Amino acid sequence: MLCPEIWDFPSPKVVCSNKKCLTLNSVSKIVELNNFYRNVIITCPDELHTPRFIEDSLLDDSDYYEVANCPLTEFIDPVFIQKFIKTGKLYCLTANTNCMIQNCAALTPDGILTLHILESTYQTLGIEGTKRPHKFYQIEIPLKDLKNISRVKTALEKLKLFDFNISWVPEIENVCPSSIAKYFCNKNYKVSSHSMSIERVAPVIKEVPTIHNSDIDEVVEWIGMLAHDANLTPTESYVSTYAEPECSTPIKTSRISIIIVKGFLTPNILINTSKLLEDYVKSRDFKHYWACLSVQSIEESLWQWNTSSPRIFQSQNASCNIFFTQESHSVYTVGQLKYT
Amino acid sequence: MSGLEKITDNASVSVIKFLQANVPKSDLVNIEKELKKDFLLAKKKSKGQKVKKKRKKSRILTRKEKKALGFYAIPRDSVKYSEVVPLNQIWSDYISQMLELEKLGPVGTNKNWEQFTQTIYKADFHGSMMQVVRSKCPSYVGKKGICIMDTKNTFKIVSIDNLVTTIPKKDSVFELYVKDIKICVFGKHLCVRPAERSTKKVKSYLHPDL
Repeated sequence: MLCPEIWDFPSPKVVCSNKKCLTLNSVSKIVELNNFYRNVIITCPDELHTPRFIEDSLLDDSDYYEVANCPLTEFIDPVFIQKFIKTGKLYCLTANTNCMIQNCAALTPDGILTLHILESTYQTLGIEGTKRPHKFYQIEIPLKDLKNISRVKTALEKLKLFDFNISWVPEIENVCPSSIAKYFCNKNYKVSSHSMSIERVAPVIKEVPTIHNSDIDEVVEWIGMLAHDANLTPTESYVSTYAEPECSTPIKTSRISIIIVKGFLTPNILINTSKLLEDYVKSRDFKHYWACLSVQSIEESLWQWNTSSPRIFQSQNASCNIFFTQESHSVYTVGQLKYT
Repeated sequence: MSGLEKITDNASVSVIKFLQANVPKSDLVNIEKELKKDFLLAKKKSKGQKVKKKRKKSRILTRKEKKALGFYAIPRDSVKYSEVVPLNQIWSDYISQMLELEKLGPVGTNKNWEQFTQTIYKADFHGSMMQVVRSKCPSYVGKKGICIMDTKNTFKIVSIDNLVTTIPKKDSVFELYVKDIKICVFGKHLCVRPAERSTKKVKSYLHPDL
């Protein structure tokens, strides 16, 4: 081989989709399609600070826990299933695992334990699974009606220990979500509690484009520029050729408030915040006023692109941007697979 | 005329009377002498006379006939585990004697390893306690029992709850238990009839993956 081409890799394909005229119900369905989000960015035009009630809905009672070195057999314990899986929504994902090279696991609120296992390990386990790309197999174990407990247990004992990020939402109001942390603590596992980290940005702008009269992807890009505190008006076109979105009827205000919340986010928190944002937008009397909620997925997690594609562990990067307006809502999603 | 007295049948007697009546008188004495003559042809054996002794052909049953008779079919609940345990004992002793397990040095030393693996390959597995530890089909994983039949492509094992299972050799990895030693063998390397396995040569490189 004289000169092998080792640089010509095609760039990952990016897929965008735009949905308009949605109700809060359909927006909730889109958010609930997937269970694991990494961060959320809330943009409120014409505000010095994001309204307190919106911040509180994201920060209050949204602690998540990290359990270290936990075996998977803990999840098939009948006591665990009875106490947590059947009486609430449990969200659980292995932390710091790369789904291209390592085994991963996730527990979703529908009570299914999904495992992403390397082919040679899968052949030693003895549970039925389906083939996935890049020599992995996916095993789904329904915990709500578990059969062959002993067989599943011997199989799960063959896998090593994982670190999990756990969040539990109980059905009954007066049960504290931290009972799951106490449960693992009592079993002598190292449990650490984490709360969401928040960053507030108040950039200086001249006017706010509306989504009625400009391209939605340009508005999304504009919000992203603001969140990164980037230069919106580059003087020299060598470094950046960015231009602000053109809008015929912008909102004339020079204030905008953005908050960036990072952590192990689950759909229930996001849906509550969406409800509050919708009410807030309705209460403002600017014409064509909008507020935006952007969520980003956890990159190495169980992900389903839409209702017609399967829910599999994939290395992806997806962002879902929901614009709330007084009449109806729009959703703009961008997604790409990290490796093709 | 003493020889002529022996002939009693009517045809011969009438021939002799005819000859005595019509032969010239000088030849009457020669009748007896002439009748005593034997023709050479009579001494030769004719083809029809010898009865061939029928060769007893040993009737071997062909494979199709054996299958029709049910030689290879062992119904699922016909063999009891307790009955096969003594067979396992015998096999244990046989294999430890063949492999010289008491004198077994560290595993992997080149000098004895080749010999060791050759002996395992050529050994008989009837009566061995085996378990499937890895298989392309998940339902075979974990099946453990004593081998009661070894064919070209499968093992028939009887498990502790008296169930006979047929496990294809090709896509599985087996672990044999001898006293306190585990021997891990790929099924795809054993896809030969046991009778032929003990005589034929082993392939030089066997890839250790399913």
